[in-house]
Amino acid sequence: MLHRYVLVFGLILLVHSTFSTIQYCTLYKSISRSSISLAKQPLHLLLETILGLFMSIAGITAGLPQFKDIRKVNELNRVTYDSLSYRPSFQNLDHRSRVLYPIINTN
Amino acid sequence: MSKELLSSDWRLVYEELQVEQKKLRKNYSTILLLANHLVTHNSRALGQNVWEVYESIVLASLDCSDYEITTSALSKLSARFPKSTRVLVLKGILLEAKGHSDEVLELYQEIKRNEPLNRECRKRKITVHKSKGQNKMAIQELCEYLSLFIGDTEAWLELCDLYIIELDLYNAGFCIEELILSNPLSYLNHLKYAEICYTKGEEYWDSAAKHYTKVLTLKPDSIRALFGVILTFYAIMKMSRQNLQSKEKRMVDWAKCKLKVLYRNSGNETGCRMLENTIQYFDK
Repeated sequence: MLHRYVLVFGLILLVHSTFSTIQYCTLYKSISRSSISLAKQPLHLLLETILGLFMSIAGITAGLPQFKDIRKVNELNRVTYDSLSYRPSFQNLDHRSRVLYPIINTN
Repeated sequence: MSKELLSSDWRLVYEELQVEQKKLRKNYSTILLLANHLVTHNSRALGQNVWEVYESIVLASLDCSDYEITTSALSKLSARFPKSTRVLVLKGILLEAKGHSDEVLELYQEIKRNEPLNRECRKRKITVHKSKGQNKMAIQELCEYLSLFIGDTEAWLELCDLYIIELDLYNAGFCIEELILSNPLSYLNHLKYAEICYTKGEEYWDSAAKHYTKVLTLKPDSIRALFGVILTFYAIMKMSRQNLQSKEKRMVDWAKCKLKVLYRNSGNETGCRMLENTIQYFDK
């Protein structure tokens, strides 16, 4: 559950830093003639963006379910030789359980 | 397991039923228990899924031979779906289980005439022929079925087994070849094909050896394949009256070592001793 909170917080940070950067850029444009370069951005916004990114990544990867084997062979090898004989569509239902079931049930 | 599960939420019971249905080797008494419980206590909550649960009740109770439950479930199904072929086939399966094979064959023949593309009635017809011992009819029907539905792996396996019963190993090999083509990574198909080739005779021993080794690349601790490797190479050696070449000798020695390790790890004392005797027999 912790990873969900981390993910949500990370996403909020990202969104917040995006809006702050946009706001800062528009303010800067309205004040000066040139547009802002990366070096002149305030440090806390940059840190906020990076922190938000890493927190979101951590939140997503910690919450992933168990991976399956990449080689399909490992999955296929777990069946036994008897599973060749289990064909449920072709099973014969006319078997001795017709006689044995009443006996077992009365006992 | 069952009492705690049945007293919990119906969704868990339904999930457990789905899990049991998905298994290849179904435990019909468990399915019957779960499905019966769902239908008696939670039929309104299930909504439209009730009918599938009724269908699984029919099949499970037929295998457990509890015909009262079957007839009650079938009556509910036919009341809801009066003109359904699926329900008609289920009624046919009930007749099959009771042993009225002639009636049931007529029923399936009629369904086949009315709906030529219905898979279930064809499969049941094949099963009835097989249970009556009419293997040739079953093979004929199955070939017809496979010409229509060529991708059905279960049907190819069934055809292979029918051919083996009739001792027509050439066609049995053909069926398994189809399976290998459709699923080359499954070691079972290669294993069965190798055994068929080994049984066919001398010209096919090379093929058998090739497929046994293929099984060992897919599943290194398959004991049938290890024994198969030893047997085929010794058989080839006997037939050609030459000693084993170095590559084959290495393969056989590796197989013997691997067998010893596997038997020792299983902890079965008598098995180990029998293995030693068998291997010594081959060295003579």
